[in-house]
Amino acid sequence: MPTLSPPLYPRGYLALVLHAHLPYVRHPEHDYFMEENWLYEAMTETYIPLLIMFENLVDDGIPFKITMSMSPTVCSMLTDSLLQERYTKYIDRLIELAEREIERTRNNPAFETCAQMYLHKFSHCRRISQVNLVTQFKALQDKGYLEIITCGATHGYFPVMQYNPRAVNAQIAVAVRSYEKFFDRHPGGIWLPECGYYPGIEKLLENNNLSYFFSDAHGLLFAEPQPKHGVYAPIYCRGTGVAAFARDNASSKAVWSALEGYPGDENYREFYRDIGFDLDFNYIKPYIDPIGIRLNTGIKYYRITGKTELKKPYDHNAALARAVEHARDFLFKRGQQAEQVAATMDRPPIIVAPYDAELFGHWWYEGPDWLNYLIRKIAFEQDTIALVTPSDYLAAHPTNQVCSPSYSSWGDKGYSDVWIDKSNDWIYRHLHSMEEKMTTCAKAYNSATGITRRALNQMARELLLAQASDWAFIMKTGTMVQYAERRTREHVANFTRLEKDLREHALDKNFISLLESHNNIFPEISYRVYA
Amino acid sequence: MQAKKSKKTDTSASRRTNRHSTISRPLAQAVTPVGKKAVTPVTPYIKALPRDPEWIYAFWELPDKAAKKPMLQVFDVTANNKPSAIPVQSIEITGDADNWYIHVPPCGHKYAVELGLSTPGGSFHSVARSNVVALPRAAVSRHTTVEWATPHANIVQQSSPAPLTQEEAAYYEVVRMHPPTTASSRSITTYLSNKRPPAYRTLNPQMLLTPAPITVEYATIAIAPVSSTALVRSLP
Repeated sequence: MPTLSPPLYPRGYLALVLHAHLPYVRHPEHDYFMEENWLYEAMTETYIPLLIMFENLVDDGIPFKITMSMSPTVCSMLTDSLLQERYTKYIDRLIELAEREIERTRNNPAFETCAQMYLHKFSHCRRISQVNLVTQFKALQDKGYLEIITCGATHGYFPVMQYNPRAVNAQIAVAVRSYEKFFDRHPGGIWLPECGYYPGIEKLLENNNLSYFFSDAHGLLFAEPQPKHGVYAPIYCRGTGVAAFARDNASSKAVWSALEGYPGDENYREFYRDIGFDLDFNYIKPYIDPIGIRLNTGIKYYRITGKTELKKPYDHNAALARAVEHARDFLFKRGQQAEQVAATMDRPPIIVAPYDAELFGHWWYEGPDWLNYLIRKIAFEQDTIALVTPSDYLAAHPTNQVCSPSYSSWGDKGYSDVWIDKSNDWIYRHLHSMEEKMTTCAKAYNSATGITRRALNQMARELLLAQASDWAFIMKTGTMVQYAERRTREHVANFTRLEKDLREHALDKNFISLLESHNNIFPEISYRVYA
Repeated sequence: MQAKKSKKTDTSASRRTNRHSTISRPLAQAVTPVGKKAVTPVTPYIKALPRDPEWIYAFWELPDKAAKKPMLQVFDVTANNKPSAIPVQSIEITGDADNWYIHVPPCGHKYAVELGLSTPGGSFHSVARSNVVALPRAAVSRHTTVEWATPHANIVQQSSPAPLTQEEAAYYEVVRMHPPTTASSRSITTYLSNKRPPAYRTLNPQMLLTPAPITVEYATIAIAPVSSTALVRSLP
């Protein structure tokens, strides 16, 4: 019999974790800036569809528990008035394009249905984006459906700054402060950027009142001593009360893997066939980069089809039917997994399934629908698995094993190969030098006032922005490299000039004001966090 | 010797050129060109980062190269962080490299790297010593003793925000002067009215999974945002 209340005695817990992060990209100095589209695309295809999906679940009275990490950079951008205004312009242009597309595809029913879908979705986006999205996610947390956690202030990769604990601490403390501002409460846990764990960070997390974090599977599997329950129960890091939850490999692979995973199904929408590239230049020109560079518009008419260039038209209903099947498959496999492990445990195992939020909707267009079906199936169709958040789990099972996790990340090869690579390793001498100078300056100025204080605070902002792991990642992956290099250079240069001016007692008020208005993240920051 | 010289990052103008740098003015001119070289000349140093269980990435600054040849010596310091007398590796630096990937199997050891100069007589003159790098074991531990803990205070305890710093007080004062029209500023004013964040619920497993009733109406949330840029500019 269907039930709407979660099972009292589930055989296993499933912790779905969505990690929402984008680097801070905001360029008031230009009317149009291509990289700002990262945010707008994520809003249109991921954040808003997730919100709509969650809202519908709430309206239908379906219980669910999802953990979301929202990085301080994403929260700051989503509440920034300039970016909000620009998003409205962006979505208005898309709505106009969708309307023109309905006209253009009038004689092609398959495409026209698709165009209608886009118009419908974009109109929703416009309506929902008129209230800042952070507030809407916060409301879902306040109602008890979401547990939102924080991340590094700018998503700095902690293992590369581990020899300057003040720098790591600042990333954490500024993030926590920012979280409190946006969500009116203290965060329960943190998403370590890139799951980058190094031994010792737990002390900094504890100092900042954070109760748990996530590590990749081998962070726990290679812990000392060997964890009795493997990845199926959290451990407390030795010497602290901070819990570490480990990622489950099987549930990751099912969703992440482009080949074996669900997103590669031939019925799903093909990401790489966008009308921004496919249509006549003069027709599409108003909707791409103003200087004429073609880019993704978000309107795509084809499905993956298979390993062929002859793509077939996208059928949204057929894709949704596949999403139902994939949700069923995922749930069945997690149930099996829980049953197998539960027999050897003194408590229900917890299966931790973390994903980049932007995977859902942006890369895997049907991702939010899959999640929707999964949550509904968990509520209606079974009693084996119950959704849980880490805080809930720790409240129910406060006694856990004590171990020392192993240095790890969820990057390629499991360590720091992605962020320490010949393509990006040159940045670390600059970052280390900045980190040292920042702590020296913060200690030298106990209680700076006026312009000195502003300069020191801006130095902290520039350092944090330079530390974003995104830049090193982009340099490694090789797309948009120039932008990542430019951002690193700019923040290093800004910091260097401020530090030099400070040392020479020659602070330039105009320069500081300019930086404050451009790189305006964390208006509430205090440089003393580095002291 | 299994050392791999890292390729230099090409920082030539042609590589830096992109459409953004041509249409935008940079925020600041770098005081010294920001490329691969250090921002300002510094005393010699060497730093080491653990890349993975078998590789260390080391980078250094050696202002006076003179005629002497730079050299690295890698020491195993696994036992009590004390260096053994004999380096496990000596690496002669070729060209003008200022960084190196050092292969140091087996996993799970701690190392320190010394930067020095090899004198014409063949001896090693140490100039700087790196931090200690601990490389992970990359295997399941053989120790299976189980120790349990219940540090529940962390979870059930109510956490309060720390007192406001001078910066925050000033920032919130500015926010207070504006009517609370945005969601974010509204949340700040709520924050200011001494409303403490809710305590983590002390829950039993049954209660955990039942969401609270729906009470929030989105229609009540105002739309027009206050420019955060304006707020920053108003700061002292």
